[in-house]
Amino acid sequence: MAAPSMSFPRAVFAKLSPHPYLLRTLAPQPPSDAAASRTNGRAPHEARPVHIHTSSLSHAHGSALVRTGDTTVICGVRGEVLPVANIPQYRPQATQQQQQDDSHERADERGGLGRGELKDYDLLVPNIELATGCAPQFLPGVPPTTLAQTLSTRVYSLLHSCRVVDPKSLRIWYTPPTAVGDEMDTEEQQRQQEEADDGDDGPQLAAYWVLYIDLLFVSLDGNPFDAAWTAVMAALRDTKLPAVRWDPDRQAAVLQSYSQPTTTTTATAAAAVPGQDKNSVKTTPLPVAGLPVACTAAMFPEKEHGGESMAASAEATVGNRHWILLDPDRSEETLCSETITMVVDCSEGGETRIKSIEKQGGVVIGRELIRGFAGVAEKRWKEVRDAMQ
Amino acid sequence: MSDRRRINGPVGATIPPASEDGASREVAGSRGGRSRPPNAIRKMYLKTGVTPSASGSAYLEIETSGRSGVSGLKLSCTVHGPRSLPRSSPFSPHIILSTHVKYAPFATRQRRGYLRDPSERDLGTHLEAALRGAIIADRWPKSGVDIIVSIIEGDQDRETSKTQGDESWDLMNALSGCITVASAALADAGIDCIDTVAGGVAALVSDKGDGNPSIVIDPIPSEHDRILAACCIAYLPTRDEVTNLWFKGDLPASDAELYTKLVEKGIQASAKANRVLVECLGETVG
Amino acid sequence: MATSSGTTSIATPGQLLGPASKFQPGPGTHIHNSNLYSSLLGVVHASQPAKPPGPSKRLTKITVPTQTPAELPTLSVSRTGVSEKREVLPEVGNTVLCRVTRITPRQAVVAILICGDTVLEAEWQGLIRVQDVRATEKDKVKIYESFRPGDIVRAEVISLGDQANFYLSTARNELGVILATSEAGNNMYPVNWKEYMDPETGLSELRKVAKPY
Repeated sequence: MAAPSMSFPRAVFAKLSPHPYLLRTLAPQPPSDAAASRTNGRAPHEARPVHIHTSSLSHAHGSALVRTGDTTVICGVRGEVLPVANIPQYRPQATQQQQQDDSHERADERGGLGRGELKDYDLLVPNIELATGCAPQFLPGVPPTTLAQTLSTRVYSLLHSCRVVDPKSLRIWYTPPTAVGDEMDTEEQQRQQEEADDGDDGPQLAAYWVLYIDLLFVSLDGNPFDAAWTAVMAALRDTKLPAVRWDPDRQAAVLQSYSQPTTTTTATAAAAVPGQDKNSVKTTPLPVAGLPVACTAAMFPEKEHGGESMAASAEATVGNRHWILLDPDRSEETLCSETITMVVDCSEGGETRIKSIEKQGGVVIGRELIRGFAGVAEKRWKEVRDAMQ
Repeated sequence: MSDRRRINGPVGATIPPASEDGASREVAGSRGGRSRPPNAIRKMYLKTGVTPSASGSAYLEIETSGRSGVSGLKLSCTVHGPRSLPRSSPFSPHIILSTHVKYAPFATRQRRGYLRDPSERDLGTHLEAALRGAIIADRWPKSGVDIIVSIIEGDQDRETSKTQGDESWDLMNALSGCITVASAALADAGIDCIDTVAGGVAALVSDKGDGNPSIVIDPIPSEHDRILAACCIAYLPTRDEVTNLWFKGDLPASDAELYTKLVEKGIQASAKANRVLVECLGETVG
Repeated sequence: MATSSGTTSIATPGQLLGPASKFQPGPGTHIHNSNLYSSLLGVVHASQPAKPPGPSKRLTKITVPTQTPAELPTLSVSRTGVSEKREVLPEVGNTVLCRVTRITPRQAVVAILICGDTVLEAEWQGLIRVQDVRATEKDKVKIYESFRPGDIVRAEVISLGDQANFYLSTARNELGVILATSEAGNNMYPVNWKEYMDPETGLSELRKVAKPY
């Protein structure tokens, strides 16, 4: 009943009956003409501002700290080298094909092949750690929660479906020294030539970079996916892979410093840009395609206890009021059963492209709402883009 | 041991890129020597309340040394509780402390796994001992408190070769940071303590040039040629009590003086860190 | 109650507040070597007893007439103003607000949400046993006619209980269910001392109703 609950202080009311509490601020009673707002003071379509700080970690090749309200996540990207010899299902034919594609700059077909390469050899490894005490229910010492697993998987599939990373930039080539003199004509050289199809002395694919993308939640106050994805994008854009030379004797990739002559090798397909890194190792910025931005909202129903019956009868739903709460915080997430996440990218010539739509639970969000939500996501994209720069 | 609940990456082993000619290059370049006086600790930045969803939290950053490639320690600590114990646990007349220390995968030169390794468990045990002596445990019967320290960045020289075995010395610095940051987070959580406890490290080092080993506080392993022994102290200044002492290394038994001196220097280091801690706590309230 | 003497300052754990011969230890402080120290990060309050403490209760034992400590000002360190969050442990005699989580014929299990004026961060579990529901006719009490899961109950702590539970009682007029939801999912209003009514369906349900203040 409304009458007795009014006598409680706000904090007590919020704790005892969070749903009516949020409802009351969203739908103020007729006498008061306060604007509809959430208990956290935001308007329903207002997201928390994003703060991004990059390059703060010195052991990672790229890093970002993203803070939206009280949700803080750190992302570190680290490249490690996967020699092709370590890939059990390695198909040299395919890569030979790709290499030719590269040289002929046939962009159209390469996309499909490259994506397979990225996925087949598992070159992107995103993991999300929530068990840092970032919220009271996430304590260490237990296996990853379902939420952590789901988030990792969602980031993984989005990374692949958005083709954020070009597999070309992850290849490490080895060019055998051109056999000018006959002193090079050793057994090994011959074998290498045989491997390199028809004795072609062209560059061979020796290894791949594997990008370990580790996310650590420092603080969690709702909407972990948007923050995590923003951190992944910011960290990838910050990533500078060191220039390496493949050393066939050591079967390892060796870091190149400026003092080293770089005549016989090409580190990555992209041109090596002198990095301003302090420790004299050459680095190349990782090319990142596009800027997909995730935008999540939760649907807050007017009725608290009608969850099951509402699903049964759609008419009842229509009559009920509901609010779309953008970028929900932790207390709002517990009250909403229906969420929608849309990933958009407006970076390609100003046109908004929808990269992914995920919707969970509930029956309220329909075609119209999703269509309208694209505009909201577009607005969010601009906010995040501005924060990235 | 693939963990099905995580994304494990490629089946084949991946290796970090090797440096040019092993360790030879670095010895020439990075042995810069200590840039501070022997009894000065590095600058610390401490802030409480970084994780609003926790009962208490703190963030500690220790300044990087002047040289490039050396990262400072970055720690984040959350405290959850006092809260009720799990139903299965027996009655306890006092608060039960559980501590976790975890390196982030990107915290060190080598990528860390997600499972806790023995050194992390070791750090957790030492941290618990250091804090248990400071908490007034019987103010909170039948409750528990979880203290979680995430090492976002380890105190480690990126370029120094592993062969030197300085990983174990890094642990000492990490522990001292963990103690300080956890103490701040406990105060932020409003858990009764008899004092603030801070960590301090002293080490017996020998540098090239002069043969006599000397004692320094807050050592950075890469700044010294060899560390002979080190100890990490957790110290309560108002009580003049040591709650945890961790000593590692090699000292001649004949020279008991040396050991005492080392501990005293460790206490000195801890007291210095404590001043920063108290100052920071005072600021948050004011 | 007590009047604040106006001397407010910030204390950190372990900070010396004064000799124990001059002050009485309040919450957030402790005594070591006959000195009073802070044990919390917070604001120091000194309070004088408002009235000379007479023999408020019947003396049950003969005490040596020392300088009565109650005449000394009490020093306490409080977290108010420092942090919104201050966990308190429910104590015997506290009035708490809790939500019923499950019921059995013998008891109702509740989660304690608010203790006194403090909104709790952690969830402490409490039990209302069937014999603690009402003051009278205890043998006729049935738990399912008194509480339902989801109800908000005002109760009093009667014991720290066992390892997991605080024992609570609603055996007073002003204690009992204060917010209840009907089976149809609507908020109900109290009709009398044992019934709540759903305004939409008109059906009434049995509860141990708290007398409205």
